[in-house]
Amino acid sequence: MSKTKKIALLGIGVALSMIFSYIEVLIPPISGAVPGIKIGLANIVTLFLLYKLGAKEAAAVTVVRVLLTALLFGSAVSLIYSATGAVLSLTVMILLKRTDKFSPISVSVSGAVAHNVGQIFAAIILLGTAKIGYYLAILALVGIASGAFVGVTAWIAIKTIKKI
Amino acid sequence: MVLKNKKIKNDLILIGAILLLAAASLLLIMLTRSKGAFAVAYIDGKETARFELNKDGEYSIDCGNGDYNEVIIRGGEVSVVDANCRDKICVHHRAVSHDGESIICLPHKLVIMIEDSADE
Repeated sequence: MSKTKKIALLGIGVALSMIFSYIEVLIPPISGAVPGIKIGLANIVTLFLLYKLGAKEAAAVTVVRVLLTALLFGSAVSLIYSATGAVLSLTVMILLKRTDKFSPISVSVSGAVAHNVGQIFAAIILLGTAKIGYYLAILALVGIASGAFVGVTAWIAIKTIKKI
Repeated sequence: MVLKNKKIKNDLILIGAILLLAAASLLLIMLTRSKGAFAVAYIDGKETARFELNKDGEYSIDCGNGDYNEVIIRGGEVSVVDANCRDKICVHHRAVSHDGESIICLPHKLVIMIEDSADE
């Protein structure tokens, strides 16, 4: 793939994932028990790029998307939460994919759970409270559901869009 | 994707493991929790108010810049009845009463933490 084409594709990836993020804001919060829980539709793009282009490309697009989204629509605090979630999620997904033992679905589920765990750790540090055991269980459950949805969607896209 | 079946099987094992961990942590928490003694309000990490859970009452927490959260203590539980934050997640939160539970208002940087008398 030519460098120009790759740059163009990554640019599309950033734009598309930002739109997914935006759509999510329009959907009412899915969980009343834990604030800030979202489906993570933007990860459809992350997963797609991870499987079609590679880890570096997926990481680059995710980092840029997180930065831009925080700059345009968020705050310094939202950036911290977003970044910790994204970094942990990316690490877990890239490592799991490398084992070549799992399909995009459980890679996505693990990424979603890791993302939530990352955000909780950020919350612990930012808010100075440590007793979060309650939330871990709910986060894992919501992460499995949202991760599965994102994973299946990405899987369909990966299988259907053969040539990029 | 020739090895689709093997991967799906591993998927289920992985997801099952995560579920198990979640269930285990929930069980652990529920078995070791105790009723709290105080609801302590922390704004930006600093304790600003402390309420005894065995005394019913309604209080307004001033979070600065005109931000406020109104809490009510009744029957050993604390809940947020009103706040002027934009998402009011704290208001929709269920009442809490056990040591370690909390209600958080992120926009106001407010954490209402349930503590027992032995805590920091």
